[in-house]
Amino acid sequence: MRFQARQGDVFIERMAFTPPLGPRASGADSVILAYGEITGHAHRVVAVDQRTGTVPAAQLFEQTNGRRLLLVEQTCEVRHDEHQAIALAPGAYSVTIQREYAPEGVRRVID
Amino acid sequence: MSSTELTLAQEDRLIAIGDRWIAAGLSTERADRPRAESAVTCAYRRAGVPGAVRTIWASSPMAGARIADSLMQRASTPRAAVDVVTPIKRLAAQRVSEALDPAVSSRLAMLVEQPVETRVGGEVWGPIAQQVARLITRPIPVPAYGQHDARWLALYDGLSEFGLNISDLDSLMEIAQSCGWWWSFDDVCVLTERPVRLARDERGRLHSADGPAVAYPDGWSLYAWHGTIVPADIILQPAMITVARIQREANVEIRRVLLERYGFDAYIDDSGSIPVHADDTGSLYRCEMAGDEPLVAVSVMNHTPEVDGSRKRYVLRVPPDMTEAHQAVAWTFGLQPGEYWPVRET
Repeated sequence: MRFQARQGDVFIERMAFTPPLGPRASGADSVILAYGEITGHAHRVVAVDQRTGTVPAAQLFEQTNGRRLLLVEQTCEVRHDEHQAIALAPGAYSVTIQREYAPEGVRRVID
Repeated sequence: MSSTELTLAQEDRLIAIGDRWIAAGLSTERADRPRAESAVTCAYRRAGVPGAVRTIWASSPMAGARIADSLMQRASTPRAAVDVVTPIKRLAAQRVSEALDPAVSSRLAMLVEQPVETRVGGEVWGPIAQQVARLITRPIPVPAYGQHDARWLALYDGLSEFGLNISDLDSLMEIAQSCGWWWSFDDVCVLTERPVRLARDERGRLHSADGPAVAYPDGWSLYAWHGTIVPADIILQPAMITVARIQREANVEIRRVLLERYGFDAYIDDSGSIPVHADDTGSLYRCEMAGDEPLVAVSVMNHTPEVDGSRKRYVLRVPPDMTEAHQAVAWTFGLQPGEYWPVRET
């Protein structure tokens, strides 16, 4: 069974292999998986060892299926003000934001 | 800075410094205008920014932002925003060139920086800044935050306990203790009032069950329920919340607050929802809607409890053909029931 974890409305699944990388979806110094517009709280990927040097500890990429790929180079934690942290070992992870049904169409959960 | 363990007296002084800056950051006293204006003049001089400073007072950060916007847009001659804070901050930072003893550094972070950042930055400045950013449509110069600059000024004040000369920051500390946000231009400075009301819950989050959680003298205000910014009517007219209003709300955080105010059990009863299935992932409810497809929703709880032990409950609508809670939660992540087995949930 592949590692799966969930932090609130963010679902993270370890991938068996690293697929081709799409466009980069994270900035140079911070990786935010999701951001709450109302709460202002973010699901943020942070290196456990802050002395990461020049290699980014994690990077986020867009994928063609609407999901995103999180590439973890050094052990990281997903942190959020309202949830306990989730540790991620180096590897590739698929990141999905929770969605909701509406008669007019499926939409990403807005918070 | 010498390598030493902190004495209890030093730790007490650091805690007092943190408390003092939290009080400044949360102050609801009327701005001390003469003190602020005089400090702004000193700050311009200290930052090496030439020119006399004419001041305009605004009654809220929102009003200040609007004035800053119009000063940029409607100036007959080009007007430039000037950064007064960064040069002064740089001067102070140069003095911390010597490496801090790690023990001192971690105690400073724990006793001064983190408490002020949480109480003033995360819980108060953040929501206010977010609302101002939402309402301002054009890019405007970044303000200095006056009382909310307590977030970083506190740390330097703490460093002064260890012999650091922080006199470069005197003017910014004066401003932080006398008014709210401010915008600096080459010929004018927009200063703002502090709030007249600031209501928080026991955890320091913006919260008021009977009025605005933040209100400024001009009436600009924010309504909040335990840190979640919500429309005013949810706070002021809880009796007007209806099942339809809850079902119509697109934002899950606001929907959660609506449900809390209405009462989850009351909502289930009043909406005519029938529990269909429940398991470890949540509970599935089905509500027949006259002339429309049924509303099927899954109720899920945060795995991480609140400080008081309670858990936030969210209700998410799922397709009407869902029959089991686990299936419904898996669907919300685009998965089949057999594909959804998280080993860690927080």
